[in-house]
Amino acid sequence: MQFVVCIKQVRDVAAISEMLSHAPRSVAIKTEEMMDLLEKTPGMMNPEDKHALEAALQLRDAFGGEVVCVSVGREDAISALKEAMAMGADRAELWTTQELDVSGSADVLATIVKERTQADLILCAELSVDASTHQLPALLASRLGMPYLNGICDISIEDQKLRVRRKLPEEIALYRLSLPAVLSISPHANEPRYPSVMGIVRFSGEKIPAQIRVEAAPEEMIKGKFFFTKTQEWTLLDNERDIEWIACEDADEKADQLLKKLNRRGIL
Amino acid sequence: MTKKSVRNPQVLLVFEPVLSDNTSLERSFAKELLTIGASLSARVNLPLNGLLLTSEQVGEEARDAFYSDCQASGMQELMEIGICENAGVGSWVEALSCAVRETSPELILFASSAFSSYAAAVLAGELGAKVHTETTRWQIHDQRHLYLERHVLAGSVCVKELAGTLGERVDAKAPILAVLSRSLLLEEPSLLEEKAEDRLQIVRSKWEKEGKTIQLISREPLLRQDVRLEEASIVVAGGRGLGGPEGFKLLKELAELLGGEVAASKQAVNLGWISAEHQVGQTGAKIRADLYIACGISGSIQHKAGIRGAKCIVAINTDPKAAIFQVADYGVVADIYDVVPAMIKKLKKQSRR
Ligand SMILES: Cc1cc2nc3c(=O)[nH]c(=O)nc-3n(C[C@H](O)[C@H](O)[C@H](O)COP(=O)(O)OP(=O)(O)OC[C@H]3O[C@@H](n4cnc5c(N)ncnc54)[C@H](O)[C@@H]3O)c2cc1C
Repeated sequence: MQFVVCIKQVRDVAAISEMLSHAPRSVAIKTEEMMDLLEKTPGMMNPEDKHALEAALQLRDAFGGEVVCVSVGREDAISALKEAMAMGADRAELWTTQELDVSGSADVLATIVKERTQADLILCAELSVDASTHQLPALLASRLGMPYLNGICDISIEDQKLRVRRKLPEEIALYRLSLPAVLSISPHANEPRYPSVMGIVRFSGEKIPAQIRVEAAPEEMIKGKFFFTKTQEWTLLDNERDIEWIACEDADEKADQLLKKLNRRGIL
Repeated sequence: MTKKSVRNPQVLLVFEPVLSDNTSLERSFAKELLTIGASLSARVNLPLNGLLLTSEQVGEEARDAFYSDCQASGMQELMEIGICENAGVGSWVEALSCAVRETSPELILFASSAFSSYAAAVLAGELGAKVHTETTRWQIHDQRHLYLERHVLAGSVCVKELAGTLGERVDAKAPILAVLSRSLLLEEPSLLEEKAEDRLQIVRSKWEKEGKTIQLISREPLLRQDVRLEEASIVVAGGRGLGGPEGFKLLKELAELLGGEVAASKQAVNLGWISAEHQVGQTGAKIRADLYIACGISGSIQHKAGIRGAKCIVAINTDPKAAIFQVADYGVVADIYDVVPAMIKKLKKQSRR
């Protein structure tokens, strides 16, 4: 069987907030400045994707077959794919583009899946930590005409049918789906493995390994589907609060003062 | 579907399905969604309709209160579709999709929930649209251009963009879909008043088919003690600074005295000190409590993304430079093992009095 995993190279959100931490709050940022900022920010594999990859590796080990990673994005996504290879994936396909919006990404990923894989099952993360639109897997599934279910904690395969456990705050249930299908994997599903030492040695360095195929996405496929648009307005959010320190000597006094203040505010 | 519906430009509200075990109309922001739907549809001069999936078990009383809210919002038509609880989410979303196709709305609004985030995404795929997720604000320019705002990059930046133009989308383009964030739903004052004119029509139908490609095998009952951090009014959270799982016993005692819930940072969850449902942050629960007490939590960007909605934040940390103090209303530089027991002692004394 072929297990396909969608991998996204995201911007390091903590690094962005660090860079923005000295900028004046609540001011508008020009879209070009925002693009520039993202350009400069280091990238990393979307950490949530590792749960999808781990699920795929476990399925391959149980049922045989191969794990193919697919990705759309800037060329630095190669580093995420190298990491995925070091974790145990068999091969990867990257189609390079500028930052696309979610429907553009779904269009390109669907094309990669159709033209470069024979996917039996496609696994995604529940969300990407930068854009967090929560919809890529659903849009991808519709483009491929496959069923889609989210919040998946457990997967088993019997007679070309999937049996999955879905765990969300509002539902814990078992579902049956036909293959091929798209699933998004809950971050609580598993503990992703670390890349093996052998893997790191094999897939580090400048060279793009033969297992990772990189090509540019066709222009006409991505036209008008960019993440940055002319109508966007960006503002830095001001999340800081005016702090009142509870500054007394010993712990009893601190506890006392704090509870009094909360009482006075009408909270307790 | 037994009955055809109005086929004209409209704003459609999709409510959280009402099931016997876990959803009630009050809890699922139905009233707040109606309030926003009413003011938005009035601004663009489009009729307002609603869609409710419901299993039979819902109490008459709750339903009547909901109908009168619908009426007060000026809603014209409410499609009420009876669903089978044991058909599962595949079947329910098919019911939804079929109804939406019949009505061809220009704008579809959902209130944020696990169901709506799934349903909106599947629907968007089918309609060739995309979803504006976690909308934090809406604006109408020139009576027809809809602008929506949301927070990205773990809540450090807000982006506002033109979602589309209303009043000219019939047949031409896919509808605009937006999921409204809880913070938006809660900040909109409830302005629903009884309107004299009653034009609400309720159209009932049934959807009893199994899911075409996704079938439910079985559901486990949700346990009452399942943590519902997003609804708690007081939350006491612990991080790696607790030093071990026994710290959570202390926090639990404090939380119980305050009538609150216990929560945790991701580090504490990763260390196995507490289960994952307790995690707060970008990849965990989003707190909207009146009081959030962060004990031994450093205040990473991902953690802060989950506590922005708290009305009052108290931070207890030994490190005066910890980032958590930047977002705190009250700061206590201290060891939690000194301050928390002292708080517990005081609260116990108070309650005895
Ligand atoms: C993609 C991604 C998603 C993430 N999502 C989340 C998320 O949803 N939620 C989340 O919380 N994190 C998340 N994280 C992890 C986050 O980056 C931090 O690692 C985590 O929040 C830190 O947890 P902490 O504050 O408990 O631990 P630490 O950062 O280690 O902080 C411990 C704090 O305790 C203090 N301390 C130590 N001893 C004491 C004592 N005796 N008394 C008082 N204070 C003491 C220390 O001064 C320190 O400030 C995510 C990370 C990534 C990469």
